[in-house]
Amino acid sequence: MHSIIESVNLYKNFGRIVALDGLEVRVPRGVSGLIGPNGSGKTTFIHILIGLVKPDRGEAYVLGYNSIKDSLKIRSRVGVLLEDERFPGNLTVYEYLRHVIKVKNGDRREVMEILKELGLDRYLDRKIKTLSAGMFKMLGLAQALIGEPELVILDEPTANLDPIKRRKLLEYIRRISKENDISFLISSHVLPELEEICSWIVFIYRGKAIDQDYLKNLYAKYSSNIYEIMSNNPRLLVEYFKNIGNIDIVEVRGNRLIIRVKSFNELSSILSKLLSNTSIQIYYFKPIGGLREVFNLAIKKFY
Amino acid sequence: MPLKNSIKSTINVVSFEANIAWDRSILWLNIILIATFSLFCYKSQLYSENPYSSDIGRRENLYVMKEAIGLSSNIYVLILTITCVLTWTRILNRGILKTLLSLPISRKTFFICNILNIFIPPFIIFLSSHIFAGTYILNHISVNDLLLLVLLVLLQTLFTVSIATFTSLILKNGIITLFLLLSIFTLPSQFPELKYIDSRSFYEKALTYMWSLERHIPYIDAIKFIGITLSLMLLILMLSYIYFLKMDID
Repeated sequence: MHSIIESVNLYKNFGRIVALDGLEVRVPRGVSGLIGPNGSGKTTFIHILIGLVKPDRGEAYVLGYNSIKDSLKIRSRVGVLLEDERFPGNLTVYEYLRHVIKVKNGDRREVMEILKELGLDRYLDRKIKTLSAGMFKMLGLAQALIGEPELVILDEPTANLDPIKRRKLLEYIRRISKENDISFLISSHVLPELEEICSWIVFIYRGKAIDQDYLKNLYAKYSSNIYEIMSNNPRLLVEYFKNIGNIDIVEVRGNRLIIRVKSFNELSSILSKLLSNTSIQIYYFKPIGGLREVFNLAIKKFY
Repeated sequence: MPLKNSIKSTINVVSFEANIAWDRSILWLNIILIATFSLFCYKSQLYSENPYSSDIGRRENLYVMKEAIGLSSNIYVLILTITCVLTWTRILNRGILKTLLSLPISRKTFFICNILNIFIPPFIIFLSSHIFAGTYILNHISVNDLLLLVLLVLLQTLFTVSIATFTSLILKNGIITLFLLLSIFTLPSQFPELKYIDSRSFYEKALTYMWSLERHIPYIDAIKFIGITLSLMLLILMLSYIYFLKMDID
């Protein structure tokens, strides 16, 4: 596999806080997702990739360039939308983007098309400080797409967007990735969105990459024989499953349990015994296999 | 070709940063404050020194000009410090620096352009006010006098900007930095040992010697004023530059 992003043994501490703890990541061409809870090191990793932060140890490469030595070359080929991006509020959208076009050697006509797609063309004369949070995101995305980048890194691109704009944005990303052969690395908490558009997924947890592979391989690896069970007494059910020992409890969500078993036959025999021998009632059980469950299983397996 | 590209990119970044930092209202405020104070100092000097200003010769004109530059330099240093601190702390604290450095702008270019962008407008306003006064109020300014003035004002400006930049980068807090800098710049008036970094003494000593207004001032004294300011400025600017290159922007 040819990687466009690669990190080797990355370490980064902010005082006593360990942000990255030997992070090893590979990302191929295409649309890839970076998944991890808050504080797992996703944003620090993105900052290291574009040279905003220097790692304490280890190296990162983007499009074959070293993130420290060649950060300027990286930033001329990579568009970035940062999570908490801020813009100079005293400028209008047009004034700001005019400078960005000059700095990134962008083409005005191409930029106007991008602005039209993102719905920003109507706001060109507006001061940036008067834009809504959603339009702020769109401005950041437009900035990232200017100058025909080979790779676009998006940190929480759908935060602050309403469902319609989210859908439009995801469709737009999918389309330009195919049409213009642009690769994307998207960091997001909204896993169903990543599930829709990403082909490669990297799981980050506590500064480590706990797994990374093509989405279909991850499903095959983790999500077979995962079931959701709803009962009247989840606490008793957890204890019952723990006593049996063959069942892997992935997550408890209210009165629903996410469990992993070796086979469906095993589960049905366990449940029939449970129903006849205990007072626990099972309202339903169904197979599931979302990215969220896959991520939880990956964490469980790693630790 | 690479030189042409690098000049073009520097101009682009300077104009980008100027657009961000120099709000039209802030620019006008700067022009009004610096120009008014600079010109006001001439008026007070002319009335106190010689009421028949139009009759005085080159030497007297230069003397008045030196006094006015020395007097107005206090307000100039104050405004320059405020501008510099606000520019740095604003881009650092509001996250704009992170956004700009995610674009293809190197830290070196950003640092140089920001320094240029901070000092050029006040420097031009201060200098042109004095050139205007020299030409239209005192009816005298020669090219030699002017060149010396430009160099000294440039040196003083960069000295102030370098201290303000270093402090802003280290502290990253506008209010604390401003208070600290105000105390740093008022220290020379409290301690005679620090007279070399006092802006008024700097202009008065250096211009007195260079414009040959008083022959008895030793050469070494003028050199000390310029030399200490220059070496301190270079050292502090270099430290700020290295710190800016190494700092994490998170």
